[in-house]
Amino acid sequence: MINNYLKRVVSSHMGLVLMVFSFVIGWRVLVITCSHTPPHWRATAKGIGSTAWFRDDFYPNKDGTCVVFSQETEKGVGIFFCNAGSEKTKLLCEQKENGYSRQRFGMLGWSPDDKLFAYAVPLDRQLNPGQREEQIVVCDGLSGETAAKIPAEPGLTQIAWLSPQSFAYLTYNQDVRVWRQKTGGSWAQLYNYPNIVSGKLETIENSFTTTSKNSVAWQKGNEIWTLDFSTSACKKIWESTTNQLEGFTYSKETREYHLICSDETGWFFVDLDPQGSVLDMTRNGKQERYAYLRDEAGTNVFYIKTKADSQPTRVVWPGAVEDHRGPIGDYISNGKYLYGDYLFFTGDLPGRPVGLWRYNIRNGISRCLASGLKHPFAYDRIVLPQNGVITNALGEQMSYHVWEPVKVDAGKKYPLVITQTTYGPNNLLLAQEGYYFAMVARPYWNDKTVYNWPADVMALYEIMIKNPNIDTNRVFLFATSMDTSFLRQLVSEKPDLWRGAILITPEAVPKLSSWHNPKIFIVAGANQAGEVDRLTKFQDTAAADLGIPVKLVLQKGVEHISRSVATERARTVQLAKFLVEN
Amino acid sequence: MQTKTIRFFTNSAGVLLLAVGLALFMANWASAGLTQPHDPVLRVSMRNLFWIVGAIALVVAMICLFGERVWLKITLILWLAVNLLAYQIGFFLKGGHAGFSVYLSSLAEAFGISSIAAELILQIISTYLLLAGCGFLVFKWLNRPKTTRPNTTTRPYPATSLPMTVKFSCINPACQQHIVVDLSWCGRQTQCPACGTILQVPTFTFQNPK
Repeated sequence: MINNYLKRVVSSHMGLVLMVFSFVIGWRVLVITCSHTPPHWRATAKGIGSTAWFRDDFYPNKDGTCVVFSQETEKGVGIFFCNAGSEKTKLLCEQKENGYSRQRFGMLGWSPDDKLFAYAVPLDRQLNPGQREEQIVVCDGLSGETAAKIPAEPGLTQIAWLSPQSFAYLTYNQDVRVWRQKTGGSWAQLYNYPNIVSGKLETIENSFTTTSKNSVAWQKGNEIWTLDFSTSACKKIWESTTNQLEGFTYSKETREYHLICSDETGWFFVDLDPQGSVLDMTRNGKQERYAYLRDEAGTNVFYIKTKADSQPTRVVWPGAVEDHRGPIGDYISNGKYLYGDYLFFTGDLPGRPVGLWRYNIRNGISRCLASGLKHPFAYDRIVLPQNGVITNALGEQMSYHVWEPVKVDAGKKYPLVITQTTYGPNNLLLAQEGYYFAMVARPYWNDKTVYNWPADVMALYEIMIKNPNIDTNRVFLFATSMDTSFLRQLVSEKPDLWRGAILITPEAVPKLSSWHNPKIFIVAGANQAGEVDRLTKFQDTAAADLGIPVKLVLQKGVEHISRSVATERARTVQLAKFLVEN
Repeated sequence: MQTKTIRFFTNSAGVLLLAVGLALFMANWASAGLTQPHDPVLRVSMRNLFWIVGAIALVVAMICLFGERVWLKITLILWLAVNLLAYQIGFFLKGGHAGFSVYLSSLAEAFGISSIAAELILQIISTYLLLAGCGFLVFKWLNRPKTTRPNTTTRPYPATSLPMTVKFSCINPACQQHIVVDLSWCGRQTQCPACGTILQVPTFTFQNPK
């Protein structure tokens, strides 16, 4: 009976089933092969999206021979140690992306003799909800090998080395602890000052500074506090009431505090004695050592000064330079680091992945200490940006960059994606997928002029639409994070100009009611509080009320900022898919 | 002839539902990583709805293609079609201003057609299943065997120690399906579940042991 049944099935209906299977799968295969015109689009997106970006700051030693830095790994972020002499890079520890923001993970700097450096990691043990036990790991400054593991209070934010054998650390609750290395090599706690100043740190600027072997100073909002361990005296030596304290340094040689403040008219500098009395106040910086990055008609130029009486050296960098904000160290402007005879920064060269670079000021040779990719980009053709200068409606002049598609046929029209400053591989990706990518080069996202986003983008739009190869019916806006609120504004003002929008971790979503059938792509982390509800509601409303299909990618285990190669790659592939479909 | 028409309907329904089920699964795979909107009627993600409807369509398709009971096939097809109709009514009542096509965008993109075309195809299929299913169900009901129920007083078999079922084979030499029916069907007409041949259920006479 079973045999008969099987025979019948195979001879008749099973054939029908196979036919249906073949038809449906064949149709799908046909769609895949015919619809995506750019060849290897997925492989290209995967290749570009696999770049391991550098996170937070990097900490070279004084000579610039070794550097500790933070870079993405496949599943999270790692702390790496690189000895430039031996050209070896070592992964010291890794934090998985999921749950990253609830954990402290940071580098804590070099000892005064550069023989040790430290970083902090959370342990798996949870003390209270959202609070994990932490650990300071002290490592050998030449090999990167672990020298000691020291328990730390939760909320540890900054460390200051008092001597090669002792350090103090500060928590978010303003607990100060001092540890010292004993003669046998082990470490023991010397002082403990819980909640030495009431309240929490209002900023997590890396300002915790050694002022002597027995004293430290730190910034709490607009105040500077000091603590002397020999007398246990803690006092406030400075408070800015009418301006913003941006940061400070302390010079052990002159025993002066150098404060950087800002008000509505710009930056100014204040020098204090150890008691907090003002010695000098000027609007002109008088830094003896600095590296300043300027955008000159779209080209990045460093001005480096290493001696008080010398003229700054002008160094043209042909690629992009990432903006880092971090500790005000030895000194820097705009977060570029000078150590010994070297300038450290992260950036790229045209067509090459982002890397950690060390520029030798003496001989002018730059060297990539760590690359964002082990191999060159797959299927990538280098597209050099065309630079220019625009004047927006507010009369401001600024640079812009335009990347054109890798292959442009005369007479054919290509879509355009337009934005203000963004970092990431978007220029490469868009060029590969047959898009023009135009970007206004506002240097820093926290600059107050970021509010001119709509004026900047409109000024660039007016220039771009004069290009006969640009399809003016397919112009997309691109914005990330807080910039999306400006994108929303621009869409509300001129909805007819834009075919759609690409929003990365948006703070705001565009108003769709007056926008005719736009193409919207949104990517965000699903671990952001309220983000899933907000964005899915937006998607549901767009579908139900307006019939607009919003492409929404909510990545599990991801916060506002992506922190792994896997997340970035998935994002890039989804964006590439959206691009080739539109 | 009537049997062949019914068989064509159940087979065609099976093929269509198989194609729909596979297409919904494929659409979900093709849109992996994307968050789909929630449908306004059931408030579930369209991805989950595609999995559920796709799985149901595949099960019904398999029963239509490989099952033996014609009544069951038609009933299932009709049940599915009625559910789809009820969903459409629910969508309309919920005020689906912008139409349902937007919810089918992942399906449409997976197969390179417009969302409106995808909606139209699904509408045609569900309408076909509903109307034809209703028609054949009514037809089957009207053409059910009309033999009178055997009179218990004149039944040809003894009242005690009775066999409850009758086993016999299909008279179609190419089929010869073994068939088991209730004893009450003796003498009545039935249809071979395998090949559809109309059969006379054999009758038996018993002699009461004395």
